[in-house]
Amino acid sequence: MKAKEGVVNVLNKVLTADLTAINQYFVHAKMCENWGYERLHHKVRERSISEMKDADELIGHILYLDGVPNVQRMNAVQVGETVLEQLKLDLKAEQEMLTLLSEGVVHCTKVTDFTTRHMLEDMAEDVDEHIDWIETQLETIKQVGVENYLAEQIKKES
Amino acid sequence: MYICLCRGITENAIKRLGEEGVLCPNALACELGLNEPDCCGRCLKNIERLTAIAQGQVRSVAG
Ligand code: FES
Repeated sequence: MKAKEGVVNVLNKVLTADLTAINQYFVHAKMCENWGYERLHHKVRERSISEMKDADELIGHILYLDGVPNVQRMNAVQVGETVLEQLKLDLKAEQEMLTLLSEGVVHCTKVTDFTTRHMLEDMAEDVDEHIDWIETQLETIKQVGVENYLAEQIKKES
Repeated sequence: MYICLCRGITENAIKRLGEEGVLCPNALACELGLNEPDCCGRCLKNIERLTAIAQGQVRSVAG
């Protein structure tokens, strides 16, 4: 199917942010595992995999629209040295992703591509959830202190 | 946070270099080995930002 004007471009921009996020979350997850923070490791790893599923969908859709998925481009992967830094950097990445998705939704509405619009809206919902989760972690850390928070992360998810 | 993944350099390491007097873009690039072929080139392109960090002009990135 022939894409409406600018839609492949929008999708490729989201794909770039997505490929960046896959790596960022994956390395954060592995660092958490290395530190022994089992719970965080699982949670963040899950997040990386869900970004990968988004990339799967994006690439498929770009091909369907007769576009070329740009799997070469990546933004700077923002790696934090501590859990707190990681959470803050992930929050920043998700907020940027949300802006990108919102711009994409506006564009798709303008050129009347409702299929792509729905896809982006679904992804935005997911991002919203993740932002919510990170903000909760940051708030908890503020309340109980980072040591107590991290002590909780050592335990395995029951 | 890590500023340069190719070299494994943290923001604090760059600040320390700045304190030791490595303050100009060329000296920084040379000190960090950013001209080597195994670097992705991103930091060389962003050398102004790295310089600003070395000069202590940037508030902690992960704030
Ligand atoms: S990240 Fe610094 S040169 Fe590649």
